[in-house]
Amino acid sequence: MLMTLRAACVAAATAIVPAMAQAELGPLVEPSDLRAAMTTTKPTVLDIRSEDAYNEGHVPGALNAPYGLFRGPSDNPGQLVSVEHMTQVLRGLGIKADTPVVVVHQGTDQTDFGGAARVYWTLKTSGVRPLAILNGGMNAWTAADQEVATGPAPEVTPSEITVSYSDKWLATRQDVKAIVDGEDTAQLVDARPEAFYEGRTKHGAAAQPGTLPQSRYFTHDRWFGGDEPARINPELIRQLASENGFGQDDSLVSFCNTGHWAATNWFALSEVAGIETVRLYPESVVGWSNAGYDMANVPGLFENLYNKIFGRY
Amino acid sequence: MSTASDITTSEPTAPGVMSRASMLVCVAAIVLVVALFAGPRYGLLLLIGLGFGLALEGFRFGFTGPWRRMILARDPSGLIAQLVCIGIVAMAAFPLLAANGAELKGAHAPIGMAMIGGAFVFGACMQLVLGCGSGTLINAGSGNAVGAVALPFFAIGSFAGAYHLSWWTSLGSLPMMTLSGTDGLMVTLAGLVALAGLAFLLRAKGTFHMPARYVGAIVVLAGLAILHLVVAGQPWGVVYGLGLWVAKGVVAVGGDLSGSTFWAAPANAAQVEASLLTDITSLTDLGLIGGAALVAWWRAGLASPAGKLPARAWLAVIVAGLVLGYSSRLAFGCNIGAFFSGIGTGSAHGWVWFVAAFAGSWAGIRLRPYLGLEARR
Repeated sequence: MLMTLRAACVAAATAIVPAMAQAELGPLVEPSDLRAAMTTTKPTVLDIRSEDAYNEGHVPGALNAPYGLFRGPSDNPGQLVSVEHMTQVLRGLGIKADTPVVVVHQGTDQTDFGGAARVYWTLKTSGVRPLAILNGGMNAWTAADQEVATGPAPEVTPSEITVSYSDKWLATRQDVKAIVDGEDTAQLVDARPEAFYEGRTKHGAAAQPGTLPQSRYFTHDRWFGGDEPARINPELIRQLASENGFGQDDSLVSFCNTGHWAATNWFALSEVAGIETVRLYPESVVGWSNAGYDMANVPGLFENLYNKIFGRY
Repeated sequence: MSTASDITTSEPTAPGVMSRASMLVCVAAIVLVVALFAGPRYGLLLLIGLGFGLALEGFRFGFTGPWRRMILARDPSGLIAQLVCIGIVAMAAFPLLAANGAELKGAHAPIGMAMIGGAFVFGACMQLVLGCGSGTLINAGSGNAVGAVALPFFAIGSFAGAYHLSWWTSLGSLPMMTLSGTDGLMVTLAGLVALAGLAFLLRAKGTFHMPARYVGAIVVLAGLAILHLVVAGQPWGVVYGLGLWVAKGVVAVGGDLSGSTFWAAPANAAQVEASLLTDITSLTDLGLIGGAALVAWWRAGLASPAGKLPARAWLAVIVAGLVLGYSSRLAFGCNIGAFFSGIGTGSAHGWVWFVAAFAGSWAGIRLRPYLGLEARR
């Protein structure tokens, strides 16, 4: 009995230590923490910037996976890529389901953060854990005087991962249709600025201006403090979430034009504020409008003509 | 033997002020509806087309008649007026194209065997129906029976010509040759002056006259053509729209266009699927017909003369309409698309088109009496 107890303690200890190391790699990681993690958990650092930006200088040991790899075609950029494509991409990056991954963006502004959030969401939906975004991106990394490497990416051993998408954080077109038709209950949250929500402007690939029916809007850039447009402050996010009626038990669906800004809202609500049921509608308004479904706040014929003449879209 | 002058007409009555006012309101409403549903650009294009129709019919200015008068009576007035108009368009179009190469394109096409042959045949048939591309639309719109009969066959011919176009161009064509920039403009203007000078020198005594309506036509047409280039991003054309209407009809009754290189090409296939109100040439064509009809109605009410031509003549009109459409497609344009817009935007094929078509017109005029279209001389 003593043997089994000791064995159980050892087993428990060995289980806790890597779990604790994994728990440290939260949804956000500061440059200094990433530096430290590079010697302990050794996460895969994924630089989602262009190849040119990557070559000019990247986090040592980072791999280059430009944002476009995770996006759909030009007439529906928000479309979630096929599982086959995702499998190829992740295999090529040597990522397995339990590989810790840190997503690194440039860190310019709120919209730039959206790219990191979207990649984070895509990886999480593909079953990869744990995940983190480098808070402030490369700009924060270089500002913290951390080492910057140049030159080509390191050699990678392809992995054997086979991707299947979890529906826990994914709202498909049918899911959203069910919500709009009243068959399902969830709050649709528009991440776009007010002009888009009110139908005064639209994305180039959208069939018409407007928003999803029965939605509310919460512009993506509100999660960031005014003085730090590129950094996430978790405390601020939790405060804003509770102040703006996002309850812990709410069922939310985040959308925008192409699921880019919406990924920021999803990240803030799901990963930072800790709300359980937050899903992203990846193709968002561009996909929805081109499918011909009903929209709200669509301008009338005359207002539409006025908008076109005066170049609003 | 009956002649074209053997026509009975009902007594025409010009419409009153109320009718005219409500007609203008109707036209404005139609343009507004197009702008609302298709977009402001398309509403404006319909308006430009109406302007073309109003100008051509209102000023009684065309392309076929002046060439006929030059060939038969050595009266160069109309021909010279056309060349002046093209010159004005070129003076605006060349700089516009040079500065906005990405947004604007010219009416450029390759010179080739089929292109030259097509232009010649077009020139001949245009004298048989007394109308070229725009002329047939104008005639049809203003109630001329010959024009009205020729038009649908013109459209069918245009569709068929486009269908087979790749075969014809494979017979041999040169690479695209275009004139551009200030040098290109100088060459174009020099060429136009030379042609006008030649026509003037060849004139018969006392024929040259430049009435006010010609001047009006030159100014209005040139202005509208430049506006068309800016609004549509391409120069004024006629033939494409007509072929497109037939292509849409073929698809509507279940036909398959994938066998044609032309109609299966992504841009054309998309235009067949899309709304008629978003096709540039269709809008200007409809505007042309509408504008001509408006002028004819404004002047004299709707009273179409029922021509008493022999059956042989009607058959000739139908065949000529088909051939007009087919040949203009091979020639990469009619008077408007190749001659007017081609030369005006620096395409070498416009010049070749003119020479071949003018020669064809000469042949067509010779052919008219044998087909019963007028008294033998």
